[in-house]
Order: sequence, then structure tokens, then C-alpha cells
Amino acid sequence: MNKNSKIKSENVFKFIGRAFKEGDILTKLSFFIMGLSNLVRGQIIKGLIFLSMELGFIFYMVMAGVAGLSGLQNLGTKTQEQVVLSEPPYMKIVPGDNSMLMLLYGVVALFIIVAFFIAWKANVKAAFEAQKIKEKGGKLPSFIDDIKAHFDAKLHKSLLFFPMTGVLLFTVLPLVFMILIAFTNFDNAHQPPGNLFTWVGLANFKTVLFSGQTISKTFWPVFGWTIVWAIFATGLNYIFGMLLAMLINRKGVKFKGLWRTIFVLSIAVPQFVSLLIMKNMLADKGPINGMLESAGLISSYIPFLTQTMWARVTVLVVNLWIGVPYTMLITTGVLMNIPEDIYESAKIDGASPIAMFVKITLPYVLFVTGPYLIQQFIGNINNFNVIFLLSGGGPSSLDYYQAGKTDLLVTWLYKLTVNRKDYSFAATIGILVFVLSAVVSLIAYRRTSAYKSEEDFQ
Amino acid sequence: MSKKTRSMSQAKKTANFFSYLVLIVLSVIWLVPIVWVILTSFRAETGTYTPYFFPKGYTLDNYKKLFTDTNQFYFAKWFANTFIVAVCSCLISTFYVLATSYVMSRLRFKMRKPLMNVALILGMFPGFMSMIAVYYILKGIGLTQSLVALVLVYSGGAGLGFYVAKGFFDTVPKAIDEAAWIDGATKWQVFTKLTIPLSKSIIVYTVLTSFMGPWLDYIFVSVIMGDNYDKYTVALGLFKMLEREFITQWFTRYAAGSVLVSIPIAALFICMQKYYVEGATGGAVKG
Amino acid sequence: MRKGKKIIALALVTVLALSSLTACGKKNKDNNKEVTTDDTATPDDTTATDDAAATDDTAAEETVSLGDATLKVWGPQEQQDSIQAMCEEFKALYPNDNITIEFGVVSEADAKNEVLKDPSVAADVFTFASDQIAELVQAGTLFPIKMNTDQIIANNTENSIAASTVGGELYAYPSSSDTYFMYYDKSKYTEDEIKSLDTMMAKDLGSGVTNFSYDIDNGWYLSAFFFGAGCTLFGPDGTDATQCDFNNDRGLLVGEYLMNLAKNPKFANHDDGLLLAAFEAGTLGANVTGTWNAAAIKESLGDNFGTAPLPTVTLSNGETIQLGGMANFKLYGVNSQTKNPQAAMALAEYLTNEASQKTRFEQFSYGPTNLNLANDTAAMSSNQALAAMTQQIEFATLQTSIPQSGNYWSPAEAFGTGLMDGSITADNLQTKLNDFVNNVLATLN
Repeated sequence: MNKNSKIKSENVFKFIGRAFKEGDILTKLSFFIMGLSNLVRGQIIKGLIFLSMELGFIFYMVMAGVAGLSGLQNLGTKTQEQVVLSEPPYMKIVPGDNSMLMLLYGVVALFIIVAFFIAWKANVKAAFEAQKIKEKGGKLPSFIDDIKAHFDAKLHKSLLFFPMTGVLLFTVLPLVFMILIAFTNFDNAHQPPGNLFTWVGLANFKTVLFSGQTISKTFWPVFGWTIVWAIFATGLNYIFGMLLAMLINRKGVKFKGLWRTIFVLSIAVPQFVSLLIMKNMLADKGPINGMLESAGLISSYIPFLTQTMWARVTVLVVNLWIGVPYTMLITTGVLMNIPEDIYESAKIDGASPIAMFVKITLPYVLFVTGPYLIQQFIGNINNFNVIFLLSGGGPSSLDYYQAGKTDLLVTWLYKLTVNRKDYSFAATIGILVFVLSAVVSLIAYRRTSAYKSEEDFQ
Repeated sequence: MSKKTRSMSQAKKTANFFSYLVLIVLSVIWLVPIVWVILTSFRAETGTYTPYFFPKGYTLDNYKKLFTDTNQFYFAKWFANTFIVAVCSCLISTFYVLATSYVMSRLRFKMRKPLMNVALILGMFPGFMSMIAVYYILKGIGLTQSLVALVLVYSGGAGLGFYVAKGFFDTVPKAIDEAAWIDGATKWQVFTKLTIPLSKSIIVYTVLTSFMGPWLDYIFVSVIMGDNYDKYTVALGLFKMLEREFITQWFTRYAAGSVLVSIPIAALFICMQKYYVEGATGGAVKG
Repeated sequence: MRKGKKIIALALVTVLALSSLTACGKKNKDNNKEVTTDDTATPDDTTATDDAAATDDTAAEETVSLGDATLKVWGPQEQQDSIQAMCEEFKALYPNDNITIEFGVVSEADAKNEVLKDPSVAADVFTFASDQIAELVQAGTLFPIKMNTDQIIANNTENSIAASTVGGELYAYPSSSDTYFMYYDKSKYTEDEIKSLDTMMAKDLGSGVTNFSYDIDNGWYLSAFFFGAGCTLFGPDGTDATQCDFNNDRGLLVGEYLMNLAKNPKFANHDDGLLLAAFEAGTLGANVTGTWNAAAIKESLGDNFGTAPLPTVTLSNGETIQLGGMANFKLYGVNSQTKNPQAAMALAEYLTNEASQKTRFEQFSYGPTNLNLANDTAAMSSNQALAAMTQQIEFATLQTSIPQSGNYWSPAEAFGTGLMDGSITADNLQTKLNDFVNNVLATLN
């Protein structure tokens, strides 16, 4: 479409092979001494940058990288030891290997190696390009030219550099670390620095899913409730949000802005405030039960959060309080965009309001907000705040291991890490939650795109 | 309008009556918890919840004590910390999000599709599992227990949240960019001079969501700050007030603190509502 | 100085590999062997000695020089001023040494999480609750105490020393004791009536008044009934991860009693939140909680403020039992990764000595573990809440700290919830108790 959309389809390795075959001696040497080709050909700064990268990498590998990588193999062998002395304090502690840090350093080393490979490939490319330009008798771009290019043709690289670094450092790297933990036995009984942990393969997955032990007897019911919760929380919020938006959008209703603002307040108040407040209000002896009791409506308190069925309904209802305004805000605009004449002609055909809602409004809104709905569903699978702050997962159950009847997989894995330090199981559950989310969104996105081609409103 | 109203049929009038009735009932339900926090923040009786709705006595002490009783909680200091972190991280996050979404929406390069897919996948992992690793990474850079570390953590992953903003940029006609390129503008100039001024609503949305983050998080901050009490943020501080030893004495002050934290966020949110809707739907819907 | 110590340090070697799996953390003491460490200062002449020999000579501290040391101390926020004052006094004891002390805020309850998160930056000396000790020891984060051991053991109550000992080895310095006891409204009950829960429940205090409230769905409190009847959690000494007999005949009697109690309309399941309002409004006769609520309850009840040990209850077989409970201790420990173990131990010992415990007793109502203070009845009875607590702690069982005990809380809470919502009935009580025990003893693999 434009000059940038030309995408080179050459495979990285093919390119490297070609560069080596066609490259002259300087280019070939640049394979080993980074930046050489650029240095000799006059791109001093560029060459120096590449060279310093190589030196830095070698320095890192010698100082820490090799040790980091080799540590990955069995995550440490030397246990912390106590040595008795004859003088005060009569004991000395000789530190052993720390499996967790070894794992982390290993992952860091892998990342640095990958990063170095990317830099090395860029070096080969730069060396080869410099050679080509010289062969054609052209003038090599100066360092200033390179910088300028990074604000134009290569803008994507400059703009993405910092965000990508942030994501790599604070999301991807920790995530890889966490995923790897699922394949170790880093649990309560194997905590560093006093103990070592090591690789156990897929054992944790087997235990969680199929062992029939306490933890798998907890996993499946919690998994089930997570699904039920996500379906109801998403569906109810969606329907009620849309109904509320329609109600406010009715022709006869005045002060639309005021109504919307009232409902939006529940989004604006931080959740850890509003949910903790709700928790207190709904307590067995809290103000809501107190008021109902003094009004004579109930004889004894309603166990809003202390009895399984009630608690499950309560978390869903309170989630409405938080979620409905979002849907309302988002569907309001969509609703106003529905062409009025569709309704008019439906009315002439004698369609009932319910039929019109099901046949016209719902499909239209669903079409526009489809991706939002999927996002909400995934968000609800991972809805930590509502459960953790409101019910804390309770009421706890004699059938479960470290979980209560309203616990979702995410809140359960949080409890496993914080209360029990069963990191390996928590990581395993984290991966399973991911698989669940991925499967759901894969199916859903497929359906929405199919939907798009079937009925096109635009 | 008034003519129409007069000519309205009886049926419509009752329909309107019921609309208002439902709206009023719902509004009450929506406002009750908020009113209750505010009432609690002025409540003279200590203790957590009471079996009645309206306090028996009112006082301003809870607010005063929040700032004067600094023996246990440094509310004012934590408030300032949170504010600084929120401002810094929201500036950085906004830049990250805008940069990423602009690149993904407007520029074409080899890794575009794979990167977008990876971002989608990354968003599906429960985040806090990795907090121990995040802690050690920060330690590796030598940044634990500082506000800078918090800023980095809150803004670090922001680049992943580009989907909404990308949707917005997709709706801005590409022809504008192309015309500018033909006139000799660099892509950087197009981004800063053309696209950003056109994206007011998405900027407001991004600023708003990333400004709110630090006020709400209580998990990462406790892992990162550890024993450094001076560097806590408000959310964690408020959480601490609810611990067993303090809750009876501090619950009403917790409510006061919550009100103080909620006011700026709520005010900002209500003023920016319009942009929020546009932003949240990637420009597909005008608020 | 430090280098010299290192040389001596390595002059003899006994290896005590921390056994990683045995939950009770028992160590293979006989597994003595020589090791060469990678320390560059290792001399070649190494002689193995028995560790018992190392403990017995306890030189008077004042004569010992600690050398230059930088130490960090963790304590809860409310005690910062007092800890800092104590540390100043400590420094004054060693005028020739250059000791720097830094402070960090970590409450006793959070200590385990903070230390385990990153032991290398954790404080050299930190205070923590006794139920964390086994896990801290298992993770290898506590320094075994070999200095003045006999004196520490002699100075403190037997229970508190038991709480500081894991696998026969002392790992911490006891600093204060803690358990729950009863608060009551003197206008509602006489001193005789509060001796038996059944008498209390039988009394008519008027409509709308709760005779007795209890945080029944909290394992810490719930244990009082089971322990009172002689049931044990993790064996008689609380270290056997495969033992829990809450579902035996005695447990069944307790379950029955609790079930009837929960059904009684004059009983309420109060947590801390509701106490004050209820006491203040005069709608509550008595409740069980800890010292941290003492000041607030005193304010609510005024002259009617009364405290007492837990009452007795009469089980359905006619037997009367005294309610027990879980005894907790606050301990001071030394980080195994400290660079100055000797100075750190001296400081930890100082922070838990008689004078420091007295300060904590006076300033924060912390019950002392020091025998001189604990036996000082005059001082103890000056604080009503602590007086009741000191009596109650005699009936209490030491709260177990083996890692398996992390499994206790959730099922205990579930059992309490079941009692309150009526899902536990006379018919399924035995099954529910079995579930309870199975959950407590559950293992993951």
C-alpha cells in the first residue's frame, strides 16, 4: 500500500548464509569481530557500538552468563551448611546454592543470549549492506543519517524500543521464570536458601489434574465455578448494562447525563474501597442485615457471604454493581447508532418490543461490541479483585485444599503462593488458567469473524 | 419537546413513570455503598461496621487523625508518594501505549503480526504470579524500595495495552498521513504533529487508566517496598489499617482515607467520562 | 578481626545438612564429616568437635568485644521508638565497638513472608510470631543460637522455650506470650457465673442481648474447645504431620457441644469488628479475644470491664472440661545470612532480656516470657487483660509451627462456617469431623 509495506520474506538463517557466501573478507570477519566491516569502511560510531556490544557480551558470559546457563541444568547441588565453631557465636552458616536465583539467572542468561543474537544479526546485516553500498560506489550513511532514519523509515524500531524493553523486563522475563517453575518442585518443603529444588517434568500437572489427591479434588470444582462465574458475570453484566443504557436512552427520560453520572460513580471509586465496604455492609451482622432485621423483613440474618449459594449469588450481584455501568457506557453510543427506520418498519410489521430487542438491538450491539465481550469474559476468568476483596474466596470448604466456595483459579493460586508458598502448583494452575483463556478467546474470535461475514450491518 | 409531551398518550406516560421509578430505585442501590463510606468517614463511634445505617454521632476527627496521628500510619506521606508515582508512571505509560499502538496501526514491518499475537497471549497470563521474579529483576538493577521501581513496574508492561488505542488509530484516515509523507514530513513528524493532536480522547483514556493504577495496587507495592515504611503507597497503607490489630480503631479513618483517595479519581473520571467511552471502545463509539 | 574469626571459624568443621523433607526439621547430628569450603581463607588444619562442647562456656557479654558491625532490626511500626531506644542502650554497653543499627518496619505477622522473599536483605535481627518458626527453620533462614543458650532457657517460661526450639535446637529468643481470653460485662455476669459457659448461656440477660460471642469460624479460637477436651493437633507435641485426632470420641463430644452452642439464639459468631459496638450498646455479655482489643473494650465497658480465663463447659457425657486454646509467642530471631552473627545474637538477646520485656509489657501490654516478670504477680495484676491472659496461657497448648500446620486454618474455618450455617448436623457430624481431619493432614503429592 505504501512504501513501507514491502515486507522482506527472507528467512533469517537464509539471509545469514547468503551474507556469508556473498560477503567479502571484511563482512566475513564481521561474523566474528562485530562492527569490523563498518569500522573499516568508515562508519566508526556504528562499528564501535557493535564492537562494544560484543565485548560486553563476552564479559557478561565469562563473569556470569556461563555460570547462569549451567545452573539451569539441575538448579544447584550445594545445600546450605552449618559449621560448629569453638568460639562465639559457636556456629557458622556456609551458604549453599539458591535454586530460585539460579533459575532466574539462567533465564536472564537465555534472554541476553537471544538479545545478543539479534544484535549480531543486525551487525551482519549492517556489514553486508555497507559492503554492497561500497561495491555500487555509493556513499555510506553517516551516524547522523542513521539517527535520522530511526525517526523516519525505521521509526517503528525507535518507538518500540522502550515499550518493548519494559515488556521484556517486567512481563516476559518474569513470565518465563514462572512458567519454568511449574516444572520444578519449588513448594513449601523446598524453599531456598535452606533447600534446593529441581526439575520434576510434568509431575505437577499430573498431580493437579489427575492425581485424585486433595489438590486435584479442589482443582476441578474450582475450575467449574470459574467457568460458571465467567459466563454469568459476563452475560448478566452485558444484558443488564444494555437494558440500563436503553432505559436511559428512552425518549421520555430527561437528565440523561445525571443518570449516567450516578451509575458511573461505581467505576470511579477504587475497587479496594468499594468492595471492602460492600463486604462490611453485607456481613452477617452488618448494616444491610441490621436494617432488614429492624424493618421486620427477616427474622435472622441472611448469610450473604457465609453460605455457599448465597455467597455465589452475592458476588455475582455485587459484580453487577461494578460491571453494569461499563457496559452501559459502551453500549449507549452503539444504541444511538442503530438506524431508527429499522425499528419503525419492525413496528409496522407488528413486532413486539421483546422481539425487536432480540432480533434487532441485540445482534447489532453484539456485532459492534463482540471483541469487548470476549475481553470481558477473559477478564472475568481472571477477576481477582471482586472475589479476593469481597468474599476472600469464602466460605471455606471442607472439600477443598486452601480454597473456598467462591474462589476462582486466580484467587486460589494467589492463596497458594502467599499462604502456602506452593509456587510450583500455583505456577501450574497459572498455566492452566492461561490455556483456558487462550482456548476461549480462540473459539470466540473465530465465531465473531464468521459472524461478521454473515451479517454485515455496515 | 413540550408539545410532544402534552400529546403523549397515557401509555407513554405510565411507561415514563416506570422508567423513572426503576432509575430512581437503581440509583439508590448504586449510591448506598458510596453514601455509607462517606457516612462512616464522619462516624463518631469507632469499630468496623454497625448494625445500623446512619451513625449515632458525627465528627471530623477521622480526617484530622488521618493526618495528625502519624505514629502508626503516614497517610499524608503515602498520599504524596502515590501521587508522584501516579504522575510519572502515567506519563511513561501514555508514551508507551501511544508509541506502540501508532506503530502497530500505521507502520508496516516484518514483525508486526507476530508481535501483536504475542502481546495478545501475554495478556492472558495471571500477572501477579511473577512478582517474585519482578522483585529480583529490580534488585538486579539496584532499584528495590524506591519510587522509581514502582514507576517502572506500573509502566513497564504498559506497551501491551495497545489494542484499544490501536483500534482508535485505525479509525483515523490514513490518507492524512500519506499526504504528509508526500509533502516530505518524516514519520516522526507525522506521529508528533499530526496523529497525537488528533487523538485527544485516546490520550485522555490512557492517561486516566494509567493514573489510576498506582492508587489501586496493593500487591506489587508490598513486595517491592518490603520494610521501607516511608515508601508505601496509599492503597497498601489503607489495607494495613484493616489488619487485626488496627481495624477496630482505624476503620472509620480507613473510610476517611478512602474518601480522600476516591475524590480525585472520581472527579477526574466523571469529567473525562466522554473520552473514556470513546477510548474504551477504540473510537468505535462516540460518547 | 573478622578475617581472623573466619580462620578460626573454619578451623573445625561439623556439617549439619539441613534435612529438607522431614517436616519437623530434625537434623542428622551424627553426620559429622569434614568439608572443604570454597572460602579462600580456609586453613588446612581442621579438627572436628562436638557441637555440645561449643555451647557450654558462656562468657559474660560485657567482656566480649563485638567488633565493628552494622545491624538491621525489624519490628512493628508501633514499637519503632521503643526498639530504637533499646538499641541505643545496647550500643552503650559496647563503647569500644563501632556498632551501627538500622531499622525497618515489618510486623511480627509479616516477618516470615518478608524474610523468605529475600533473606539476603532481610534484617539481621527480626521479630516474628512463633507459628512461623518451623517454616523459617526449614527454609534455613534462622541462625541456631549457641551463645548463652543455658541462660536463655533458664530465664524464660518452659512453653516459650518450646516455641523457640525446633528439632531440639534453640532458634529464637522468646520475647512475649499471647493467647486469647474472655472479656465480659460485669453488670451482666458475676465472677462466679463466668466460670462455666453453661451457666452463662443459661442466664436470661433480656431480649436482644447476646450472652456469649465467639469467633467460631477461626481455627485459632476454635481449637480452644478441642484442646480443652484433650484432642491433639499433630500429635502430643505438635510436630507429627500425620496426626490429628479431632475426629475421635472426644472430638465428637466437642463437635456436639459446638453444634448446640451455634444453634443457641443467645450465641453469636462475632469477629473483632462487632465487639465494641455490641459491648458499648450493652447487647453482649461476654466475648473471647486477645490483648490487642483490651483498650478499646475497656473504653466501651468503662467500670463494667471484666476479664477472665476461658470458662469450663460440660459435655454431653457429663464431663466438665476447661477450655484450652492456642498459645503464641513473639520471638526474636537472627538471620542465618547475617554478616555479624555474634553482634546480632547479642542484640537479639538484649532486645528480649528482662528489662526490654518489661518495657514492652508496660508500653504495649505484651505478656512477658521472662520468668521473673511472669511470676511477679503484683505487676501482672496491675494489667487486668494480661492477668487473665497469664492465667489462660496455663491452659493453652503451644500453637504448632510445623509447615503442615498451614493446612489447619482453612478446614477449621470451613468447620466453623458449617456449624453456623447448620450444614453440620448430628447425623453427619462424624463425617464432617473426618473431612476436617483429612484436610488438615492432606498432602499434595
